[in-house]
Amino acid sequence: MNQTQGQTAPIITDLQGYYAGFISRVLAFIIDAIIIALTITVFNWIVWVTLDTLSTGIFLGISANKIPGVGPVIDFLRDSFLIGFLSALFILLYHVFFTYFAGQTPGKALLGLRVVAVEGKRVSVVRSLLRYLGYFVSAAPLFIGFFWVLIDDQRQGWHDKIARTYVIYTWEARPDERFLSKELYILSSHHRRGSSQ
Amino acid sequence: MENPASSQLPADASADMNQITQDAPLFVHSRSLTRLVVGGIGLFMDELWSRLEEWETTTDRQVREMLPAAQQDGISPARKGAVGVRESGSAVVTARRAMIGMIFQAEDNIRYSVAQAGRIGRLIEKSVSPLLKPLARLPLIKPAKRRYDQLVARGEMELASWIKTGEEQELSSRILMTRALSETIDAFFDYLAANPSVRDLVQTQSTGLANEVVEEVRERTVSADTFLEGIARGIFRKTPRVEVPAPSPEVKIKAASLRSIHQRGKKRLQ
Repeated sequence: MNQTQGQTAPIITDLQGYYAGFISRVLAFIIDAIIIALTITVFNWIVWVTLDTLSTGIFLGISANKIPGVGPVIDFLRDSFLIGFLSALFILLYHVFFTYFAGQTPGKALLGLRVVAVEGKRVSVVRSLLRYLGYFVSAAPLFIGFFWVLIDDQRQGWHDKIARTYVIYTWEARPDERFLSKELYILSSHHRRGSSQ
Repeated sequence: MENPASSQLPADASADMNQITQDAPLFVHSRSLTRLVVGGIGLFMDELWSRLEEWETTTDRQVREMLPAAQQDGISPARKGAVGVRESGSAVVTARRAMIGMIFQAEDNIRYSVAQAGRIGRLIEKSVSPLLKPLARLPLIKPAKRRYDQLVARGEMELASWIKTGEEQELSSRILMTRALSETIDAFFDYLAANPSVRDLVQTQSTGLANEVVEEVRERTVSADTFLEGIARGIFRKTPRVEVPAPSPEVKIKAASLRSIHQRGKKRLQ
C-alpha cells in the first residue's frame, strides 16, 4: 500500500494486520445487532409462552397462579424491567465473551476483523468490558465517538481509545480494484485542490 | 363409443376391428414406443409453439427498437432491406440476407399458391358439376357411380377411425411421455443425491459460493472504508491519506497468527 504522491498506479498489497475502516466495522456491528435482536426475541417469546401456559392452566389444567407463592414469581418474571435487564446483560455478555475468548464477535468474524490490544496482545476481560462500556460514551454525543474512526490516524473510535484497543483486518484484505481506482481519483483531486489553495 | 362411420361398414369388418382392440394385450412394446414418440412430439411442439410465439413477440419489439425512426416510417420493406444491405457493405452478409429473404418469400409464395389452387378447384367444381349431373343419371354410369360412392364411404370411415384413434392415443401418449419425463428426471436426481462424489461436489460448490460472496462483501467494504474516509478527511480539511495506516509490527504479527474462521474453512476446502 505504499503509494507516494504523484504515482498513478497504486501498489496494492494485502491489508492483513492493518487498522479496519468504518464501513467494515459498522457492517460487523449491524450483523451482531441482528444476531442479538433475533436471540432476544426468540428467548422472550419462549419465556412469555411458558409463563402464559403456566398461568392460564392450558397445559395440565392447573393454573400456576393458584399455587401459593408461585403467582408473584410469575408476575415478577413477566415484569418488563426484568426482561429489559436480562436483555441488557445478554448484550454485554455477548460482546465481552466473544471479544475476550475469540477476539472477535460473530459479525466481526464474518467481516474478517479482530480486536487486539494496542500492544498486540489478546484483549483481557477488563478491556473487553471497558470497550463495551465505551460504546455508550461513543454513542452519547450523537455517535461522534463512532464516527471518530473516520478521521483518526489509527482508525480508533472513542471506545477503542478508552479500552486501548485496535480493530484490524485478519484476512488478506484487498480493496476492489475498480472501486479503488474511483476513490483514488477522488482523493487525488481533493489533494490537488488542497495544494492549489 | 360407437363410431358414426362404422355404421356404414359391413357388419363383419366392424366386429373384427372391435375384436382386435379387445384382444390386444395391455402392454405392447411397439405401441408404447409409438405413444412415447407421439407424446414427445406433441409436448415438444406445444412447447416449441409457445416459445416461438414469445420469441417472435420479443424479436419484433427489439427490431422496432433497434431500427432508426427513418426506417420505420414511410419506407417500404424492400427499401428497408436495401438500406440494410448498403449499411453492412459485406458480400457475405448480403448473400446471407438474400438467402433468408428467399426462404421467407418462398414460404409466402407456397402459401399463396395453395390458397389459389383451392380457390381454382372450388371454381372448377362449381362450374363443371351442373354439366356432369345429367351424365351421372345415365344407367350406364350407375355401377361406376355406386363403386365410387362405396370408395368415398370407405375413405370417410377410415378417416373417422384415424381421428378416433388419434383422439384416444394422443391423450395417453402425452400422459405416458409426461410420466416418462418426470420419472426419468426424478431418477436422475435420486442418482445424483445418492452419488457420494456428486454430493461432495455440490457441497464444496455451495461452500465455495458462500465463501466467494463473503469475500466479495469484504472487498467492497474495504474499498468503501478508504473511500468514506477520504470524504470525511476532505470535509475536516485533513490531509488525504495516500496509504492505509499501518499498525506496529507486533499487532501485524498477531493478525497473521490469528486466522479467521472463514480463512480456516477456506484452507480446509483447498
